[in-house]
Order: sequence, then structure tokens, then C-alpha cells
Amino acid sequence: MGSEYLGEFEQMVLLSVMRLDEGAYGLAVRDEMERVTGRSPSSGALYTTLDRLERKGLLASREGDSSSDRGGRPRRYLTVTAAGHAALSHSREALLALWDGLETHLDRA
Amino acid sequence: MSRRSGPPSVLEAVLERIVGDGPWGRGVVGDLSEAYHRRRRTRGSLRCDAWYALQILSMGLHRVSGAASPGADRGGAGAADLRYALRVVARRPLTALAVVATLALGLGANAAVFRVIDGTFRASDWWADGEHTLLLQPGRTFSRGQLAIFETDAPAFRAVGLYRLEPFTAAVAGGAPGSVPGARITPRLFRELEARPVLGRAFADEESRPGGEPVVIVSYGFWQRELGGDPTAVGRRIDVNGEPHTVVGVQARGGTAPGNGTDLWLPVPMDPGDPDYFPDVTYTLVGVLASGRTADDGRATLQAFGRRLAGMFPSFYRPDYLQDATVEAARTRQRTLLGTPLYLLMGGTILLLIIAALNVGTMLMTRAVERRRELAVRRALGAGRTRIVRQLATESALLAAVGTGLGLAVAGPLSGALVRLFPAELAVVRSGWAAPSVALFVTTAALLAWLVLTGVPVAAFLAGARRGVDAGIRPSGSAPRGLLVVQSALATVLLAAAVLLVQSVINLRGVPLGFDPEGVTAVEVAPPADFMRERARLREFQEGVVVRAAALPGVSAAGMTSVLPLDGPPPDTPVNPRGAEVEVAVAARAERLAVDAGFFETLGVRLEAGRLFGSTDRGDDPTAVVVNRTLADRLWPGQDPVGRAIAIDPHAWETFVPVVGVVSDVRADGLVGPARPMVFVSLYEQPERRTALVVRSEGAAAALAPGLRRVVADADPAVAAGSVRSLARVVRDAYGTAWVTMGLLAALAALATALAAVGIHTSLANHVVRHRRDIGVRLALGADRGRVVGGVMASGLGATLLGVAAGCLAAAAATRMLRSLLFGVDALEPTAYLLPAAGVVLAAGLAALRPALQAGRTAPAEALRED
Repeated sequence: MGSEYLGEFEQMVLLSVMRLDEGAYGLAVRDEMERVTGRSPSSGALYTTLDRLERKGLLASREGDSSSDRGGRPRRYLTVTAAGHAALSHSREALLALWDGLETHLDRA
Repeated sequence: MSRRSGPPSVLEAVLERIVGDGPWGRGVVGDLSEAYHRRRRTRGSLRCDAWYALQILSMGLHRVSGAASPGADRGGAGAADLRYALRVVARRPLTALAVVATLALGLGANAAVFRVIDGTFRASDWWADGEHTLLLQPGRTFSRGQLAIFETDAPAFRAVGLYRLEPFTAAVAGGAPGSVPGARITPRLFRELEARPVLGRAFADEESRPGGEPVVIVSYGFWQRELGGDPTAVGRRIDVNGEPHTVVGVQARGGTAPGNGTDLWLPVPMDPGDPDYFPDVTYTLVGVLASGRTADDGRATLQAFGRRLAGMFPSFYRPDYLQDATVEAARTRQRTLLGTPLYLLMGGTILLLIIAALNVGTMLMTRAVERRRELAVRRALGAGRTRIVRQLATESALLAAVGTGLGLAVAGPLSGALVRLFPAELAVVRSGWAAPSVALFVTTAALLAWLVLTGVPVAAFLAGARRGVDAGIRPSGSAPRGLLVVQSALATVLLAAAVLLVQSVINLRGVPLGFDPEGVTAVEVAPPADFMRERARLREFQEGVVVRAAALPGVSAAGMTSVLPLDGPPPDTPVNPRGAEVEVAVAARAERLAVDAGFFETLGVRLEAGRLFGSTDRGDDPTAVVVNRTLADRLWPGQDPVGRAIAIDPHAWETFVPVVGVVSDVRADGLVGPARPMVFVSLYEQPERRTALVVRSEGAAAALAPGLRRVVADADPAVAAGSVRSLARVVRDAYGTAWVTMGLLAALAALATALAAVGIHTSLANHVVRHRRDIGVRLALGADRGRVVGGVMASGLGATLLGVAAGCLAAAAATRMLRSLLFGVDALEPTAYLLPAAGVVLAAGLAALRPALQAGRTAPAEALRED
């Protein structure tokens, strides 16, 4: 698991979950991503990714409170697991290593 | 009404189906519901619903793409292609939606029309051998006595017979009597139908003869509906027209010939002792050719029959009776009646499909341009050209499959609606989707759609690839121009046809009817046959119906007639004027209607001289007739007809009846040609069992129907009212297929013009986006913005003008097909071409305006900084 690199979108999702801390659930993650990156992911992409990350063991979820706006359906709160943290830092290190020495090129482009 | 703040429950149910009912699924549904509520606070419900539907689409596409390749990339190249295709579609659901909807519309309309054509032409195979079953003198009718004479010497035929469609009053096992569509048919002819009884048998010859047991054959639908699909239905009793009949057979599903929707068949009673044996000229004559005989032999036999009749009854038949006889194969009958309008419609829908396909092509081209970077990157990363082409083909196949599926789903209801538009008993949908011809058509159309969907982006990609990887996809500039020309040409053709048909219908409507159909409702009233034996009872019943109907709330007038105007040709009768007597055979003939006093007032027929029928005109023998203007002018030109007398009964040729009134011409037998002579007799002096009650009222026919049915039952419980129709609808049916075809073609033409305008808009907008840089450069070099706008407009309008010119030429050639539907308008009428041309150019101009203005607003600095 640790040897696998995360895709860009997967990283964005995991990071948003971390930023939201206790309050992370599907809709909140989407709002956070939109707020920070300026782009709102499609429902299909977001939820299938959340599902995939959970099945990979990088995310864990628990049922939370409900409301009438949700038709009585509970929120599904998310936390990044230890494996998730490891995968994130693994991917970050790989990217940073590749970026090393290239930052100046960006300014020229 | 409570205001909904959550997503529609139907959509929510769909989403639940997609994501499942597990913890994960509940979380998703809850999240989207919460998001919906939030959006709803600031936006309208329609926009929120649309947003919610898009979320469902997105979820669905991702679920499918995830499922299409469970082992990530290990599903093989095909599965990977499909998965990728689903992702591409999911990324731009709106474009995909537009493509799929356009395809579904085009394919659905085509499949529906094709299915009706296929079903209708197959329906003439009602007859076991539709090719060799001839309708003799189609449009004219014969009597049982005539058949008896014809039968004795008809060498060309192995079987001859009669049929007549009529509503029966039927009651099952003591239930309330109801009116059902039925047919009387001679047993031999019934056996020539494609009779496939699922239970029991066909009629036997003796069941037609006097003393034969009263028997009935029921349709599959009647068996299921009224007899509960009883497997022991054969032998059961049904009351038909008040008399018990034994069920001897159940027709197979779909077998409702010779009408469309016949539920009961009775044998034609062949009783030479019946006083109506010769006079009742209401049956259609049919002959089945003997082997080796041709239609010409059939006509010769019919002509010989005419000569025989003239020899036997020289005072009744002219020597040339039936010498101009026509015969028509049952199979070709419907083709001639429906062929032109249906093929025209097919042509129209095919043109629409082409326009739609071109639009889809333009949309895909736009997408291809947007994706050129993505494809270029994939090429650079080593994806082979074949792989990318295959990828594009998979995407198109996906869109084509969904579009075709949806098209088929709408085609079913669409073909049903189409059939109901045509006059009853003409068009029939009989073939299922599995019929080989329908399946072949749909498959071919779907394949063509797929080819177009694939062809455009692949061609664009290959053209780009030839110029190198960097170029990616750059569609050549000439392709969209070609699309514009073709689209405007096709729209012009459809519009021209529509204009010609609209003009025809306007002209048809201009023919004076002699009565006012608006607000008149007609009810078939046919009491059982035994009423004819008691004239007093029949009269009391008919009067009772009229009086009760007139007393209904909202009804201003009521009357009764033996024949409803424009509802099929009325019987005609020879006319013998006193003082200028002639033989029956050479006498002038007039359409004969038996009506009561209320008929004229109800229909608004104008009295020109004398009087109408009154309460005195109800003797046992005729005491008064009313004639129309045409008959009066023919018999007594320039003189006053009131007070003269005519004989109209060939069996009482010297019994003259005074003419008491003259009315304006009433159109009863079609709208084409001059008005025909007509004579009205009093219904209560010349009894008729099968009549139509007519009432004039404020309300709609449908609202009045229950009251009218009750009125008939109140007058005599043994009688049930038949069909209830508005006279306006009867008249509309008389305008014939031209009316329906006009409506459908006008709708197609409007749709085509709109689609063409969308196409013009899309490709010009594309053009502007693609050439932003060039436009920017020109503006930077000081070009006038007005000239830039004008340039874009000119490029759009130039192509359109070319297309319109081509369209006018094509239309002039194609409208020949229309000739049989046109009335009082020439197929080469200049307005039929100028109007569509102006319409298409106007639509194109409006469509070009936005992209042109956009080009004019281009900021040079921004345009140059891009790319």
C-alpha cells in the first residue's frame, strides 16, 4: 500500500478531509475543495473517490447526526487513517523530490 | 398546495437505486438532499431539480464506469476504452445529454413513422391473400340481392362476398348493453380473412341462411375484456342487438379485419324474403381471384355482371352500369390512401434526422477542438493512432447506444399517437419491434448514427495527426460551411412542403360546407333490428331521444339524421320529376337523407324557400320532401320548385311527393368537386334504424357524452348509444390525410429550422472561438469592428443563401410527391419557395448575430495572449 502513489484528485480529497478535522463529511469536503481550489468536483467523481479511498483503508468513516434537510439520513463523517497519512506524505515527498531545483523554471514560463 | 423544498421523490428514488441502501449510499443521498435544500433557498425549484438530475447522471456514469472495469486497468483494452469513454462523458454531461437527446429525437421519430408504415402496409394482409383479394368498385356499395346474382356467374373469382362495418349493441351474461364496433360478413369471405381462431371456428355457410342459428365470433380483445379470457367461451351466449347469439369462435390477437378494432363479427343474413334484400345497398363487395386469374379478369367479370343486371332490370340499371368499374387489390388499397402522406412523413423525419446528425457532428467537432490538447498529450505519451481512434469510436458507440435506446423508448408511444391522428380504420400498427423489417430499420439507423458520431471526431483527429502531434485536432475550415449549406437546404425543403400543405388545407377549409359543424356533437343510435318491425315503437324511441337530448342543460337544438354529412358517401336515389317523367335507369340521382325537423336547425342549414319538415310530416307514406339548391336548379332551372313533385322510390316510380322546401347545398360526400343534388325525406315517414343524433351545445363533445348516452338508455333500455363524436372532428377527417400530414410536416419543418439555426449558431460560434487570434490580429492592426461583425455574418449568411437556393431546387423536384395531397394550389407556387427561403435566412441571421457580435467585442490584447 505504501509503495502506491496517490493521484492528484485523491490527494486533494484526503487533504480536504484533514483540513476539516472533525467536521468532514461528503458535502463539507466538496465545499472545502471548492473554497480552497476554486473548483467544485462532480458528485460522481467525489463520492466514488471517497468510496475507493475507504476501501483502500486510507479513510475511515462513522455515522453521525441527521436532520430533516437530509430526509432523516445520517451524515457519514470521515477521518484520514494512519495509512492515509503515510500515503499522503509518501506522495508529497515524491513530488517535492521531483520539484527540487525546478521552481525557478516556473517563474520564467 | 404545499411548497416542496426537497428533491423530487422520483429523482431521489432513482439516486437510491444507483447508490444502494448501504451506509455509503445513505450518506450520499443525504448529502445531496442537504445540498438541494441549501440551493433551494436561493434558487427556483426547476433549476434545483435540473441540478439534482445532473448529480444523478454524474453518480450513475461514475458507478457504471467503476463497474465496467472492476479490476482497475486489468479489464483489457476494450473495458478500459469503455471506462475512459464513460469518464469523458461524465466530465461533460451537458454535451452528452444534448447529443443523446438530439439522437433520441431523430431516431425515435424515424422509428415511429417506419413502424406505422410497416404496420399499415402489413395490415392489408388481413386477407389471407391480400394480393389476389380485390375490392370491387371500392368506395361504392352493393346489396345482398346483387351479390346473390353476381355469385351465380363470377368465373374470375373462387370466392365473392360482402361485408359492412357497423356498431353492435352487445351484453354479456345479463350485464348492461354496450356499443361495440362490429362487422357483418358473409361466411365465405370471413374464411378468406387471415382468420386464425385461437378458439372455435370460422362461420359456416348455413349460418348465413334463413333459419340458421344466430352465431357470433369475438375478437381476442373482446374475449379477454368481456369474457375474462374464459377458455370455455365457445358455446357461451352473448346478446347482440337484443338477441342471444352463440359464440362459435375467438379470433387470434390482432385479427380485427376488415375494420380496425372490430370486436364482433356476425354473418350477413342472406334471406331473399327480406324486403331490404335488394334495396339495402350498404355492403362492400369483395372477390378473391381464382388461381391464374388477374385483376383484369376480375374487372371483366364485374362488367359482365353489370350488363346482366341491366338486362334483367332494364328500368333500374342503365345499359352502361358498371362498365367503368374499378377493382383494387386489398393490399394496394391502403397504400394508395396512406402511401403518400406516410412516405412524405418518412422523408420529413429522415431529413430531420440528417439535420440532427449534422448538429451532433458540429457539437462533437466543438468537443474535439476542446480535446485536442488532451489527445495530443495522449499521443505524446505513446498512445497509438489506432488506439485513439478506437477510443473515439467507443465514445460514439456509447452515445449512439444510449440515444438509440431512448429513441426506441419514445418511438412506441409516438407511433401510437401517430395512428390516432389519422382517420380511423386507415393506419394500423400491427408489427412489433421484433418484426424483421422494423428491427433492420432501427439497426441501420443506429449504425448510421454511430458512423456520423464516430466519423466527425475521427476525421478531425486524423486530419490533425497528419499535420503533426502538436496540431492535435484542427478541423478544416470548409467542413462547417458544408454543414451550414446542407442544413439550410434541408430546412428549406421541409418548409416548402409545409407551406404547400398549409395552403391546401386553407383552400379546403374555404369550401362552403352548407352547415356549421362547430359545437355540434353526433351520437350513433342504432336500436336492435326488431324495432324495424314496429314502426310506432321506432318512431317513439327516436322522438324520445331527440326530445330528451334537447332538454339537456346547455343544449340549444337537437335533431336526427340517417346520414351524418361528410361521414362516408350517403346512399343515392333516382329522382323522377312529375311532368318530365323518365325511366329509373336514366333518371338523375340525388343523395338521400332521412332527417327530422330538428336536423336543419341543429346543423344550421339555411332554408332558401318554402318550409322545413313539421309535425304534420309523419304519415305512413311520404307526404313531403325538401330538396337542395343544386337538385332544384337541375330539375327546374329558373323556376320555383316549391309545390312541384318528385318520385324517389324506384319501386313506386309513379308515387309523386310534393317538394315543400329548398335548402342551401350541404356537403355530404367529400369536399372536392361541385356540390351534389340532394333530397331530404322525413325520418318519421321513411324510417331508418341506424341514425345519428345531433345536438348543438356550448360545451365540448366529451363533456356532453355521458348525458347523451343516458338520454338514449332512458328512451329505451334495450338500446345503447354508439360512438360520440364532435362534428368538427368528422369534418376534419373529411379534409383527409392532408390535414394530418400538414400538421406533422409543419411541426417537422419548424423543428428542422430550429435545429438548423442551432447548427448555424454552434458552428459560427466555433469559428469565432477558433479564429479569435486572427480576429485579434486584425483588430490590433486597426480593422473596423463593424467589418468584423459583418464578416462573420456574411460567412454564415453566404452559406445559408447557397443552401436555400439548393433547397428550393430540391423542393421543386420533391414536391411532385405532394401533388395528390394538394388542393387548389400549384406545386410550383412561388410563395411556397419565397416564404421558406425568407424564413431560413431570417433564422440563420438571428443565429449568426450572437457569434458575430462576440467577434466584434474581441479584445485584441487578450486574444493575442492566449495559446
